[in-house]
Amino acid sequence: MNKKMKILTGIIAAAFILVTGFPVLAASPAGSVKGSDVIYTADEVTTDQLAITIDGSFEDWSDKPVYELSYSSSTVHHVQIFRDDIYVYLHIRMSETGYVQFNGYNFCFNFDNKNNYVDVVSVSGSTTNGINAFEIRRQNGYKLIDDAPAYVTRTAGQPDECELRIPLNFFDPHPERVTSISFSCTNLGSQSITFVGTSTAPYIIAGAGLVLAAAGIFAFTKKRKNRT
Amino acid sequence: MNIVTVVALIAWIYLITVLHRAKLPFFTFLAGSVGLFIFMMVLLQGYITEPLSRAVAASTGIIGNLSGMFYSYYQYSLIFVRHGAESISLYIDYECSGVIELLSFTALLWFFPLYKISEKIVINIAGIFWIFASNILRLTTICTLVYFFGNDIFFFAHAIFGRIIFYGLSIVLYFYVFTRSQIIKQKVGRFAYGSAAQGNI
Repeated sequence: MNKKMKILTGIIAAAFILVTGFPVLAASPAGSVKGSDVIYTADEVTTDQLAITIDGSFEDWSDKPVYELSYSSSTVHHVQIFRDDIYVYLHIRMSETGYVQFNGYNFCFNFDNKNNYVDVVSVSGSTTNGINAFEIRRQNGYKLIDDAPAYVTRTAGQPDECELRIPLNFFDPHPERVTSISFSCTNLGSQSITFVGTSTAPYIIAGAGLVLAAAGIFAFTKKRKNRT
Repeated sequence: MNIVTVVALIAWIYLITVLHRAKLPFFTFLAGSVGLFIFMMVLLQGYITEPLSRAVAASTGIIGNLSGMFYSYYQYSLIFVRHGAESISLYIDYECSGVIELLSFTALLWFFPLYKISEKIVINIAGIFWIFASNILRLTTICTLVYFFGNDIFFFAHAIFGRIIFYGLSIVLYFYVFTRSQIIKQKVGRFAYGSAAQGNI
């Protein structure tokens, strides 16, 4: 092994140690990042639970990013959004003061710049203390959305909390192609919260690599033939 | 691995041997690298993507934690950026993780005839780290721009600026590995890599 190869191998070994250590270095749970201006979490438990269960209990949201929707600093609603391959999930904790009761009207899910409005309404027509089953209806035509459970939990002295899920294929027949999902609700605040992918457009790079390498081989082979 | 994949794999290997015996290095490279890329995408991509996405999110998150600009929820392959009242979650899915770039680079390298096997191993590992680091830099740039300028800058940061950085660094890698090496061999003849090239072509 020559000197250049030894140096390169050493650099690779160092980089390997560094990179494999990243998950350990980054192992502080997201919930531990606290501060008034950064991230709110319901508690400091890291559930590491990808599958969110829609049951009116909110522990499985405790380690996911929290957004704030508000019109004023005195009335701030905390909202979480998440998606997997099948569903988009939403959790709302109403403001601690003032506007504490859940309002499920005019929820807007924007999928790749296409707005979809839904209403989240009580099955029984009213909300009582405890866990209340809700249903989700498309605003246009008021049609019930299948496989879209929602629960609102009301506790005396606490703000209402809601969690729900909606199948992605309700919004788009090809959910695997959706790169950006946003949620907004004019009843809760002026902001919009966004969950977005950042594709590198990888096949362009793969194609460029193929062209460069093929051109290199083609030129090399041609020169060799010309020499002989 | 289903029966279609097995049959395709056998047919591909047979095609490679035929092209190699016919001394057609260009077509051996073309069929070999494209085939290897497809088979790795079919057979390996599913196992690599999730840990790679988490590693990318965790590594980017370290920079975010140090700077205080953004935070990683690496267990969900998420990066969370806040700008004033706005916030955005970047989801590292398989098109963002760099897995396609890693597999394509690997496929091209292993059928590129100018290197010995030991050299290919070293270059492959170095290339993987280069692509990984380039992706971290791309995401860090996107997050930093969003942190300072808000969600409105996201499209520019992601679709234009971030990609220019990533493409530029990828082209540098491809140039050094696939183009410069054979130029140096032709003109100078002192490049350490590619000493087996004369025998391979």
